[in-house]
Amino acid sequence: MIRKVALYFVFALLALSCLDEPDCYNLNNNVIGIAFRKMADSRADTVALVGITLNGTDSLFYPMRLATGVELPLDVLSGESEITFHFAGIYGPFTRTLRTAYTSKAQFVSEDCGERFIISDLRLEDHGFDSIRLVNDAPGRNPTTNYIIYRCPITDRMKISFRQLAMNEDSLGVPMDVFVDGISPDFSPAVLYPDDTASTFILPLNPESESVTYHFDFTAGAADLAIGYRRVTSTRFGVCGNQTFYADLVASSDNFDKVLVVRDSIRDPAVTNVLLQRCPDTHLVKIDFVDQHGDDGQAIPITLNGITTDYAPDVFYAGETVSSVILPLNDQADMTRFTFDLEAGPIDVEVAYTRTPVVFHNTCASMAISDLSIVSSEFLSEPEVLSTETTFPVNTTNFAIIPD
Amino acid sequence: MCIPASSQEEKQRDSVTLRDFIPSGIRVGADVYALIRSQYDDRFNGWELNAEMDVHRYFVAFEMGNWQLDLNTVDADDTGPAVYANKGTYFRIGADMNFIPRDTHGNVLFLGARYGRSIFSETLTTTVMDPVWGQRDVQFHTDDANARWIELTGGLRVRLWKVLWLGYTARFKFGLSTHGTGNMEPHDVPGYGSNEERTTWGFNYLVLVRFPLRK
Repeated sequence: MIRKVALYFVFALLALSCLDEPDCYNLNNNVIGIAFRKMADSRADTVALVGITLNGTDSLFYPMRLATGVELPLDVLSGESEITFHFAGIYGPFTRTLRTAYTSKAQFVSEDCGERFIISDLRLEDHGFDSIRLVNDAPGRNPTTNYIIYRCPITDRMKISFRQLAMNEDSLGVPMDVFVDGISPDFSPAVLYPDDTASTFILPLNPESESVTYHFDFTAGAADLAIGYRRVTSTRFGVCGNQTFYADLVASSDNFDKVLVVRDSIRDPAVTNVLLQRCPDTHLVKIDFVDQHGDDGQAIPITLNGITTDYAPDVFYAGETVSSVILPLNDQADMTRFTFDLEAGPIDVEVAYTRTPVVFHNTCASMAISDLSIVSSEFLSEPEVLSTETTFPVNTTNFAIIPD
Repeated sequence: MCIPASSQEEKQRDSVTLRDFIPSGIRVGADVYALIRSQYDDRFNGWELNAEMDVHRYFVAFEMGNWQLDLNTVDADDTGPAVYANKGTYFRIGADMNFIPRDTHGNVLFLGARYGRSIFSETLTTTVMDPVWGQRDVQFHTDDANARWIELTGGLRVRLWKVLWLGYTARFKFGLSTHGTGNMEPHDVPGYGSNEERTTWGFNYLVLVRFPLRK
């Protein structure tokens, strides 16, 4: 009996010993997680990273990324890491540094796996952030959060949004990308957003004044936007000190078609405060090139040297191959002549219409175009009139031309 | 009062006298497995001596040994070259309880416990291959590291011939704590074994000689 028990015992132990093979994958726990949060509500903060660098290496982590948290490796052969965050700000890139110390121990794992490094006892040595908290002093093999970086409320950033209005009742319009050479606030020599294209821009308010004027440089000209506001100074978070809060925003401009304040207080992160709206273009006609008139007509591309009008020197679609064009009518006259410069030579088309003064969105004084017709055409086939009224956005074809 | 003869004998057998607590002998032996492994395994070299002395149905046990490991990753495919060595001396002290004290041959089936201590050194020479910081050759060395742990033991002792005994001891080891390990985390603690898990098992196959202390 004793012998049997002893034998079972031996075999059971031998079997158990076979289940102890180590897994060689991802042995080092040298990844720390850093989360970004807002101090105001402890919610995730999205930061714009130019990149993150670590001492002792040229590697750039998270280049040009928006992030609410990052995971970074620690050097297993060092006891300290200096992490430099390069952020994108409206005044240009800026950096913040976090220096953390830790204990790294080497351990031989097996002849198959070699060694591993066990990182522990993460310690905050120094930092340049508003506030930071060590929540877990043990880095992991898998994503975990070790540090939480809190930032003070950003109180002085307003957001503007460029919008295109349409010929309808929508008073907000749709986002419109604009190219700016730069935007200059009157209280700072800084030129913000140089050579940038966007539909929204976040702009700083002047903490020393109750108004600010922004000068917009566009390729086609310049424009000014004046913003007035009320300031209140208070301390909401001790670590942030005295902060200026802004409210009751008002906006005006002599250059933009329409300026509309949609939110008169500052939020963090910034939400749109002011819409810079562009009035609808009421004088645009759309012309399609087709192989035949009627419902069976198929669009055909033609190569243009350019299209000119009888009222302006602009050349449209120069050197382009297109099957459809959108052209501006002369809203100061009842007729416009278009000259299509084709490979075979110039061809004129004269368009007549009726103009009726209208005001869109209480601000946009325009001419409504109707009764579109072809007065004359040098194309062999007479252009077909498909719609006698203009629309904006241009989504209706007014004329169909067979370019024979 | 008249007591039947058979009952008197049973009572005599169950009664414990002071003489029972005087050790009747001491068994001294060696771990055969460690000696054989040292001969055939290039990576291991070690020995272990065991001594146990009976006190009634209990045994006071003392064990000491020495082992060293020489490991490397030469045959591994997906890791850099690493060479590991350790060397150390250990001892364990404890007691066992015999569950068959009336065995006619004196055989022993026991459960017990041990407290273990080890003093050891470790060396690791390796090439760390890191995608960020590159390839670096490093050596880690620890002198005079020490460890302590607890064991639950169980096993057999069988009298083979006259003073010659055979047996084994199975060990469930736990509660390992190490000190003075510097910038290394021990891979293997002499006397305890792998530091990978919180608990581990051990075995000794023993050949022992019993020296009687009294008749």
